[in-house]
Amino acid sequence: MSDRSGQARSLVVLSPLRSGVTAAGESFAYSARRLLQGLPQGTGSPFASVPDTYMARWYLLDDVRYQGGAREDHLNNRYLALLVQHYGPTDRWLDNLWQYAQSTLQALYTHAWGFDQVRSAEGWRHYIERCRVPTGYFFNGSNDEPLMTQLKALYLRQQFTAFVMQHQGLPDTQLQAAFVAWAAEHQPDNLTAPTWQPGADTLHEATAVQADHAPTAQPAGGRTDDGD
Amino acid sequence: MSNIAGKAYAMNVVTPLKPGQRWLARLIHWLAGTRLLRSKLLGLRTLSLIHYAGWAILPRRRWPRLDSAQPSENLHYDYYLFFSNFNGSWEQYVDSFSSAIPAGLDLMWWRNVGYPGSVPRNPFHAYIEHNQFWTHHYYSAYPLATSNDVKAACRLRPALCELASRADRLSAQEFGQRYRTLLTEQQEHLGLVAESPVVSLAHQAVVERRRVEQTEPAVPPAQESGS
Amino acid sequence: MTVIDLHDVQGNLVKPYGRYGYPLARYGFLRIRSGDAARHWLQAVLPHVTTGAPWPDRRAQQYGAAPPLPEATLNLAFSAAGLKAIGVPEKSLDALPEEFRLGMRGRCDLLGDDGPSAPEHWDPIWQGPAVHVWVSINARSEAALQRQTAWLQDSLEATDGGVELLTGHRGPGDDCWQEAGALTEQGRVVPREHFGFVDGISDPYFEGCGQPPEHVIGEGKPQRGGNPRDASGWAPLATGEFVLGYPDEADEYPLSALPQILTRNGTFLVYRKLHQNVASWRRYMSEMGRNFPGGADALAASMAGRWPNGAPLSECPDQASADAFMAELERLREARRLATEPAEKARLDKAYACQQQRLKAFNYADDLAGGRCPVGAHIRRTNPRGALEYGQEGAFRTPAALTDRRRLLRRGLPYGSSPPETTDADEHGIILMVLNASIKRQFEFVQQKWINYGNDFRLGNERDPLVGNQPLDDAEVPGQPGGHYKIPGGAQPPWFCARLPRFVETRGGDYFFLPSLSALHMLAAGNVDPT
Repeated sequence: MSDRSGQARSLVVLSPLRSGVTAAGESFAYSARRLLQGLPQGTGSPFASVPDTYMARWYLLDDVRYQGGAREDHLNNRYLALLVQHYGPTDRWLDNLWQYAQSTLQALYTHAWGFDQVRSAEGWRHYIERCRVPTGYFFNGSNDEPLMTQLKALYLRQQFTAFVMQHQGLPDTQLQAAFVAWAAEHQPDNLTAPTWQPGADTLHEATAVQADHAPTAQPAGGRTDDGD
Repeated sequence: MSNIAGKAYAMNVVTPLKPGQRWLARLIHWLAGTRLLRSKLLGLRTLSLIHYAGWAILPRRRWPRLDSAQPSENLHYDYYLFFSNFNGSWEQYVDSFSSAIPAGLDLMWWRNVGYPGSVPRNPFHAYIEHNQFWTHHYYSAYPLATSNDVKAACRLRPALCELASRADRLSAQEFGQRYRTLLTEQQEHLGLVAESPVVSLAHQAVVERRRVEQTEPAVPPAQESGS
Repeated sequence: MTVIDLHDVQGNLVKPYGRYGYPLARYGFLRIRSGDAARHWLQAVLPHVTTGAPWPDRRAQQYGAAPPLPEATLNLAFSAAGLKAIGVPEKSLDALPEEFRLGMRGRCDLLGDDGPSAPEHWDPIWQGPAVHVWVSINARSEAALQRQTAWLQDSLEATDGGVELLTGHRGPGDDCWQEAGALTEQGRVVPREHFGFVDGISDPYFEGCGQPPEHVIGEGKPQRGGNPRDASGWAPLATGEFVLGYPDEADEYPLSALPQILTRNGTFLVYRKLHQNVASWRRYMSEMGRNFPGGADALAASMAGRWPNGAPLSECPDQASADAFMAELERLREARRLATEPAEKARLDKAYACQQQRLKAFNYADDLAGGRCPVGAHIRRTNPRGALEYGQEGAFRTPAALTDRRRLLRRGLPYGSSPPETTDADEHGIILMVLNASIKRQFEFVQQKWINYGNDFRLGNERDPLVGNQPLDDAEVPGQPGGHYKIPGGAQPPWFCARLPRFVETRGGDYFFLPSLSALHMLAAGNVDPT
């Protein structure tokens, strides 16, 4: 049983949705789904502002499927599934989610049983603990660097490959000068900037400057051996 | 609703486990993390289509129940929750599993009710499709990158940092030599990415959705809460 | 062992006619105005459709020991709209795959047909309502081509407008036909295309295809533990990858319609007219080739994976070895022709066949990093052989598990001419025809994932340098072409080609079903009954 693969972590949460209807007369599942559909994508996603989020998703498990010729199972609740793959301790990640996406969480999880008591990051962590499903086997086909390292590396690879193409065949003296200037501009060691913006799905958007974006203001996290 | 975030596709598959198989499945999961079974998963790694994937087991009596007013579940089977973040199209992913690593796949799934085996391909396709749940909100930190891109970039960066840290202190000739050594050693990691090419006609739906979003900004969640 | 009724499949499925001495071709497209007229017409031409029945080899012909080959061939295929127009019931059509029913135009986003390749720029014949029937004539001589054309046009005129030959190929002549033909040098037919490469060297080898068994080397599927240079390294692909009605590589039958006899012994045919920007190609090769080690031909070879003379980069690292390789092949061919003594002739036949197999007998297992044949080279992208296992012996069920289901039978010929003073605007290119059991899983996949994308080769968004749809604008310098290509250097730094333009543009095409003779007979009789 493992929720981790190196420093990469897997979080699987099934939150049962409340029975009955909302004040607007909609089923909780319908209302939650409508809310999810309205969330902005990419750089606007609530997850984009949470440091060290590799990938994350929400989906609604409204029933289990009948396999035919077997015993017929059906769920008595709808579940909101949250699946996250992130870097570093899960508690830290959950705290950050609460900090950066609190309004979305409140709007969404109001539809779920047991969330009405949640008032703080600690309460949120406790709530998640009650809904969490352990990951049996977590396969990491990528790597487990901090997200900021990954994003900076992607930025650099793009910039450096372009540099190599533009300076092919240059004499060493000019090549050296050009590379020194390149390194000064792109700062390979500086994880904060310039880099790719998390969640960007065009090259233009990836390098667009967004000063007020949260992750760049966050510490990198560093490698820690936590016990979660 | 979208299973697609740039080059990543989100897959969710929920399937019943045959009675009494939970512990064996757990054992296999545990072994998968050890040397004993790691060679079985060499194929999964070599496919290199996957960012992250995982299997979770939900025993039939242990579905989260948070309130005494919440109905309890009454199920015959334990359930398997599979998730994956992969690159390329659904068909490519499912086909690759079926043709390249059928044994590894069967090892993970053969204790599932109704699992047809990964070969022939069409019943396997139908099984996955039947048990797949669509994602409502999907986020990737790097929609422009595949797992291969992330790995290559992370291998390249330390070499760049190293050369950059001393580039201005070397003689031109020495620099040239080191630069060429870097290119030679890192050549498989060099490359350019761009937006994902169209991999399925679902792409049109994604484009259309973006267009609608841009013309009609989403209502802030706080105002929309229904309760 | 699968046995195909070669008398029931159409000839182009098992025979690349060009290799059998048919250097000239014409392709035409028909529209059915009356189902009855179309059925009568089909009844009339059916006896003339060329089948896959084995042809005696050319030498037996010369000595008069065998019946003569036809002077010209005839083959027919139907689009989804064409099958409907000739009277196939909806229920039968419903079982046919979605991509076939949508046609090439409907799939243009997936195929990367954008910019100058977008459907609105295709030839006029593709701008009207869907074409119904694809007709192809291959001929041994100009006279035979004219005779066959005249006969076919007479047969169409007899339908009184019930079946119409469409115009709009944007070529020379009366515009009713897309002309194509092998290029010639000093009056001699050469198997080259306009960029100067010898083409049509390799074609997948499948069970029951009727080709000599030694062709499995380099043309079948790679086998674990075998030697790629001999038959131990290869096995025939499953018949069902190319012919409907037989088991495929996933141990099942490919799709079939109702009734099954409608699709059995048939297959899907992709017709695609590809314009070649020959002047741009020559300019790029000469400019870039000035700096590239080995010069322009070496650069061209690095993009194709073969030297222009056909010698594979995997076998021949430089021009000298490529020339020597092909000179030896030519020497053996000539010696074999002149030999009279039977034992000597048999020896030379064997030596020649052996040398010819070396053109294909490699699998990249000893060149994973692409130091000899670049990972992104055209022939390596379109048929990666065992390369996608990345040297992780045993990772996959078979070394080419990711390739075996993506193989394509290629047919086709160049069209137009490309003299030294040619421009990009001149009408020249290649008529590509692909035969496969699943257009989506085979042709479209290769086009989408291997030609216009690079992730499977760990090459980011890099595209096929020869035929990929390179970005029209460079990300840094708009207005400049934006393609790029990495040539691994082995123990040296890699070489990058930047600002790569699109050398190939789509000018039109569609998806067709190539029925068996039995199915053609059913169509002609109007008795396709799905229930």
